[in-house]
Amino acid sequence: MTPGSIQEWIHEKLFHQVPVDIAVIDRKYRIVEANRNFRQRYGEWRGKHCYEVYKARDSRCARCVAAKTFEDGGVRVNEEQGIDKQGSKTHYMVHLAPLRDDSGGIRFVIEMSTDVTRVHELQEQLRVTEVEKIEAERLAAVGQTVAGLAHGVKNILMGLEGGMYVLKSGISRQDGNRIARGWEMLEGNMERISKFVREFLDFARGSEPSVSMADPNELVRQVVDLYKEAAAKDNVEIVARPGSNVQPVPMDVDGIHTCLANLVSNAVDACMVSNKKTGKVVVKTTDDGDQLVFEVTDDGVGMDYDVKKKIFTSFFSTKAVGKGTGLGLLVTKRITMSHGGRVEILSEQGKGSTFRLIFPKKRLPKVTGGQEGDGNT
Amino acid sequence: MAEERSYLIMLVDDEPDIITYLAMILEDAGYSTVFASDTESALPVLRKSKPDLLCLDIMMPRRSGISMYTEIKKDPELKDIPVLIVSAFSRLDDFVGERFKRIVPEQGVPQPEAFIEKPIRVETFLEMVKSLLSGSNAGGKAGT
Repeated sequence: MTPGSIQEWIHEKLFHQVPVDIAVIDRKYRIVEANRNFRQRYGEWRGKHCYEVYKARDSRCARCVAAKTFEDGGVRVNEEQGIDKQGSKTHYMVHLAPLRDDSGGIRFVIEMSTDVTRVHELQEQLRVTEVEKIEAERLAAVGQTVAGLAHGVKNILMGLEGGMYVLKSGISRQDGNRIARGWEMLEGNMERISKFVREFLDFARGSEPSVSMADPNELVRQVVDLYKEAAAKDNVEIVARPGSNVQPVPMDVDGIHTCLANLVSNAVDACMVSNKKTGKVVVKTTDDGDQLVFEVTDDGVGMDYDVKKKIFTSFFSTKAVGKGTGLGLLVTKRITMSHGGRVEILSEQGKGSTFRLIFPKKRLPKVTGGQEGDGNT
Repeated sequence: MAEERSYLIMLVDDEPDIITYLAMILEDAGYSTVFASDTESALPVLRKSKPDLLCLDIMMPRRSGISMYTEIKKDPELKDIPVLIVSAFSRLDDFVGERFKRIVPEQGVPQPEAFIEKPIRVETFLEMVKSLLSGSNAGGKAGT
């Protein structure tokens, strides 16, 4: 092989056959050379400007990367969108490098583009799949809600039937104590069922989330302030530990406030029913760049496996009559899931519990409507 | 009913109304009752009173009835006490059903003797109690 034929071979193999679109442009942004792949994708280029060929524009791009390379001779990589010869949108990664003449001046810039349209399509598919997944999770939560509703109602019904039994037997035996106890049971469970129904209706109705940019740390402070004083009276200390690198994110402020309030009030209750004299609840936020996490930890009673397993799936409450309807965690889960997040629980019987709301930032909702003045809808 | 009078039944449920209700039904039918409102305080009472039957709720704070059940069935002194699970979960509920199904191979304990779903029907409940007591064949505790 002669040196000439080697050069020819390199030109043929490398320039024309590498799976990359190559074009060389001059200082007037005219294409002066291009390889076969380029022509196949973008069509005839001779005598045309780069912006005409790549993007079907009739003037230079506002952010022209080639201009910068002409200016400073820097090698650049940029992601661009273009239009191929069939008129379809393309996504490509373009590497730009200066071509210098013997005196060191930059006369040309070489642009080597890799088509990433397929990657973009896959990303889009993934995004749609994510959206569908969130929807499926939401539906699953609805199913669990219905199953749980039955459990909650059955417990109250048993209380009402019990009250009837005690009252009736008290009347037939003319036993004043029984009558009083039966009446008390009926009253208590009537109150319980009306509270239950009211809360359930609120839950079922839900509310259109109003998403705005909000500071997670500020929310934590608000919720801690809300519960601090009352908890202190019961010897439970609530501490906020806002993460230093936590940034504002799009979220339904009222919704997340409700979630945190539910978790904090549960944590305080868990401390109060434990045998310890004092309790501590820590509310913190962290952000590792990919996900935002709210964490509520208590050193209260903790839960065993079966209690843990069941807490979300029903109107299940182990709290005293009149204290909880079992809806708090279900609501928390629903709101968290509507933000593309999930709830994680760590709990050890006798040692306490940690509830985490984990929000992958990519899955957070988009800001709705006007960004301001629309917080109370 | 004279014979039944001697049977002692223990009730474990975290809801006072349910304890009152079940205790009255049982006492009106001539049984004696003891009760506890959580699993922690239930075990000492159970050991001390050695009832002829235990009516056990599943979902209670801290420790569930399932874990208490396993402990009882592993205890040589308590394992022969028949257990009637009284829960708002139905017998076929995937959660409770699955948990009990798994307890057998995992913990080496038998299935509970019977289940009844809340809200109970008084007659059904009493029939179950009666049959569990006769099935246990403990001979009652006549005279005690």
